[in-house]
Amino acid sequence: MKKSIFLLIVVIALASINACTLFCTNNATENDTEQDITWIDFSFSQSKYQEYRDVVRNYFEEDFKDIAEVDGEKDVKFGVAIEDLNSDGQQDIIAALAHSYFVGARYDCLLCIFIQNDEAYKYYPINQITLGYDFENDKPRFIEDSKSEKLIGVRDSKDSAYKEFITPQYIYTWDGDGYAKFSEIEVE
Amino acid sequence: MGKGYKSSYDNLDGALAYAGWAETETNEDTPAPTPEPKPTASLFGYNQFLEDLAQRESSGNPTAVNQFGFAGLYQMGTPALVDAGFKDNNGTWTDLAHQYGVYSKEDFLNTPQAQTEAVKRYHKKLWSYIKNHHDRIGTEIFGIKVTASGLLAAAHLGGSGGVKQLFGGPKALKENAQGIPIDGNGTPLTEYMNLFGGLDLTDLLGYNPDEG
Repeated sequence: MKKSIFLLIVVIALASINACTLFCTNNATENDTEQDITWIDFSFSQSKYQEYRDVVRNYFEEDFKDIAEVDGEKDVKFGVAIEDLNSDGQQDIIAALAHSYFVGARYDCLLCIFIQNDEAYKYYPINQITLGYDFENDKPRFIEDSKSEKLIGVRDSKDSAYKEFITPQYIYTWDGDGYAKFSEIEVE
Repeated sequence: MGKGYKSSYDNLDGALAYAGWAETETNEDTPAPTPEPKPTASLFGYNQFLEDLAQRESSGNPTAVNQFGFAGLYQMGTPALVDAGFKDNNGTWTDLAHQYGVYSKEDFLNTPQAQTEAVKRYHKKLWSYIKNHHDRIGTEIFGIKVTASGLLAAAHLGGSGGVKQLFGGPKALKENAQGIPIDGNGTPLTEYMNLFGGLDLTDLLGYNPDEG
């Protein structure tokens, strides 16, 4: 009996610590990040970031072929931005693919990155994300408006050389092997 | 999984009736003819797939909408509605949506039959996207038997790119510790493949891919 009570107290204490950590993190996000966040401005122009667009296009070549076979689309529209995500002085690629082929029924966009290491790029998914909906105007929020709408951003991390990603629903941090969900952002 | 359970959500039944997939009401004054045995497709078919999906995504509530705008029985996002032909690439409701009385998200939420038509069209498109994986039906992946409805459900969750990745294609989504692609909320694609597997898609496709 005493053992059970002790275990119960330990569980409650651990849960409280966990809840406090999450709460404090979310508060920190709301209070001190706005000025630290660089909001991503994705480009959809075929002529801008051409070499970076080629990296994305080459990686998803097979998928784009699948889409073309069904839709007849010559080129799948996707957004590209560049940012030095790990402070190594080299530009990394951030890509956003809003085609249903990549997101299924329940998400708006596949957010992914290509980290540059010398001449090579390595692919890392952030994963499928939600961008949200402008209920007032009955319009979805588009990655084309990502900067003005403050949809997807990056900020320096306190714990890693890799920047953190801010999306409408989650904050993602580098876990040594890619980006993982760190905490949920509360939406009013 | 509770295959064959009676639907407990009236709005979905209405939507399915509109689409011609539910039983037709009979006039009680007229003697009812001896009922024909239902084909398996009706009991464990696409109708069931949609009921299970609606229950999973929205608890069967056609007016469900989350804070990110994912709407209705099947919680479809904008890219899926574009594929269904209900929205154009600018996010505007199309003529097809208008045919179902949908001019706004509110209309969409209040029109379950439009939601069912949209998801049906979307699933047909998905089925085309994953055509290169139809030959996986009957095999196993991560201990799950691959069936047509399981494939479709995995694509519904993780996109066609996710299904391609599941079968050894290039990485698009994050993977769990077992190497299984997961959706944006961490759900493995194989979970949907298992949950929604073994249902006959004849009502959607006009044939049953599980029968070869």
